[in-house]
Amino acid sequence: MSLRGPKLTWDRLRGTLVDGGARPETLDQFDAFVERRQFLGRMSKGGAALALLGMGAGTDAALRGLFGRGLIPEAWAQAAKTVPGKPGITVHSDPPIVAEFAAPELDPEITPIAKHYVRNNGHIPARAERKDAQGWTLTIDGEVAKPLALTLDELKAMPAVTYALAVECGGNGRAFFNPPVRGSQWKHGAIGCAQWTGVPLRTLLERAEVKSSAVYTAHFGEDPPLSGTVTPISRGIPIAKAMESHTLVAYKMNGEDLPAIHGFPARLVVPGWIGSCSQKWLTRIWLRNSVHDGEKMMGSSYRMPAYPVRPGDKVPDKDMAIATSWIVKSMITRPEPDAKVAVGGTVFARGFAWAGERRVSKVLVTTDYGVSWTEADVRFAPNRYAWNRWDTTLTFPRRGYYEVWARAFDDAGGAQPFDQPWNPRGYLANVIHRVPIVVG
Amino acid sequence: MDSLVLSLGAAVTAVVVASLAAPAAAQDAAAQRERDLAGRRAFEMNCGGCHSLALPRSQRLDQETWHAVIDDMMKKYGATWITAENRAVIAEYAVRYFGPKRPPGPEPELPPDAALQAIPPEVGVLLQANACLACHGLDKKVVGPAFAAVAERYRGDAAAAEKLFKKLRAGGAGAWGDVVMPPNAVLSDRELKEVIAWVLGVR
Repeated sequence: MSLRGPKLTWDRLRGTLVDGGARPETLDQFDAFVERRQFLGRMSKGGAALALLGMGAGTDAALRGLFGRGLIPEAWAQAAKTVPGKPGITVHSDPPIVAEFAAPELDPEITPIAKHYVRNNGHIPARAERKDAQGWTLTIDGEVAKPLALTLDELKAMPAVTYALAVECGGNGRAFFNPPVRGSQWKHGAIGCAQWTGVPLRTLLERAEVKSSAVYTAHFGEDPPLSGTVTPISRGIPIAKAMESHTLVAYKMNGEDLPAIHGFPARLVVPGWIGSCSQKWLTRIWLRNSVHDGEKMMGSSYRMPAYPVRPGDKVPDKDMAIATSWIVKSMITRPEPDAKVAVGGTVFARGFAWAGERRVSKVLVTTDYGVSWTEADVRFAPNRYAWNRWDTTLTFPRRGYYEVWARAFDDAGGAQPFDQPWNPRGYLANVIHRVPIVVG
Repeated sequence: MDSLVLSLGAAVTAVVVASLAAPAAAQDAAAQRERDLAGRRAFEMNCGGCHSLALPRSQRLDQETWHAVIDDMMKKYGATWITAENRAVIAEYAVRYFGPKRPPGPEPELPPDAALQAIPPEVGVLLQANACLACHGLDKKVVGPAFAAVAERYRGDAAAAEKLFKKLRAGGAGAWGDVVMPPNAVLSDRELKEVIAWVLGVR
């Protein structure tokens, strides 16, 4: 039996008040209230709680936001199936929060925060839930002549850029592996292309006067690990990728301060590479003179076999190489699975394509299992590492069951496979997406 | 006439053999059900402390991989409370219900535990979130002392809450036995104090 419920902590409540636009006086009242420790004894039924809290006019609207976001106290005893701010998301796990939407929900070219997937390794830090950057610093040290320790204000004072950047979990598509592999069973939704605002990491490294001996970064964040004895995740990237102009220390997402769940106050965004490079709740970047060997860099974590393997085979650790860039891939957002189309009707099929460090060169679409293909229109992306929208018009003169398949190609001879090549940890899944529809 | 007798004889024999086999099959089924219940209990008590139970439930892994995963939990990810015996019980259950073959049916319903149901939900969430119940019963020792025993030992001790706060943060052994209690780095100060206050009140 499980008594699991959404963790209604003081800090999360306070964070929700901040998000709801609560005034400083309200926050002061809240803090004082918490100190009186009346909460646990009084919080029983959701509606009564508002009255019991008795915090006066002006707080109602902010507090009402609590209940709309699934933090209703009576939900203590239920399994957490929602993520505050992302209604309708499919929750694979909480904790750690691992949650995604289905492909049709990811149709907007800029992924709204409400639809962006979440992949946490540990818990959300209290500082993030409180949306309070007081006391936070970002340290840049190691193979640098001038180590830095920046506050959020200092970071925000530096010249900033905004890019649309696709971030995708390395395990997106793992659910399609056969035989199944261990790990989060993502389908299509562990990807988002939001607008990220921040300082290029390059700018910080130049300010710190990174030395020529620096070959790799090592990232550290402040998310508490699930178990007190566990080393938190700490991955890194080669210096060339760190210096690439789209690799950001970001503090805004779609124009808003980073949400708590997405890494408040600042995070890395390493576009085109597997998501675990994009450390959230960033506190330190250590420049190293050798390849980083932190938690989740070694063994088979985020590693791919150095050669193709038979499905289900064991691969020795020495033959597993660090996974870095994503490979060419695409997704169909329209039509939706099991869409009904009239005989002779038209479907405006569309979706996205992306290719890691490479560029998408074309997207082909078929509705007859690959016998004939039409080339979709591929739109320009607003900047490098954003995903490309593709679309095409499909007509169905005859009734029946059809599948819409989309296959993306990159500019270096790469293309999506028709079946998913297997690897022991289920990374870099890029088999073509197939959407069934019914005509007539 | 002879063939009728023969076929009657065969039918009678078949019925006798079937009725002898039925209790044995029923015994096997009952024994399997007991193993399933024990498996589910061990799985939920030991595996829900750090991450959601939905995570292991979403896996479809063979026996070798489940053993490797549980080993990782015990050796790399801090699940120091899993005993060798529980490891085998949990692995068997996981392979049956979260393995490559179709599960034999839905997971068995665990009968409700009245004592656990009586815990206030806001405290229960915190206990479950930290696998406290994997080692501490309410009035029974499991791996560590029963909460009632802890409350009894510290009754009247005004400094107990502070001492226990330090102990839970640091982890350790010695006060009750040799098994090491893992340190608690996840609950906030307030949450940890709420749990301790509740434990000290358990009768």
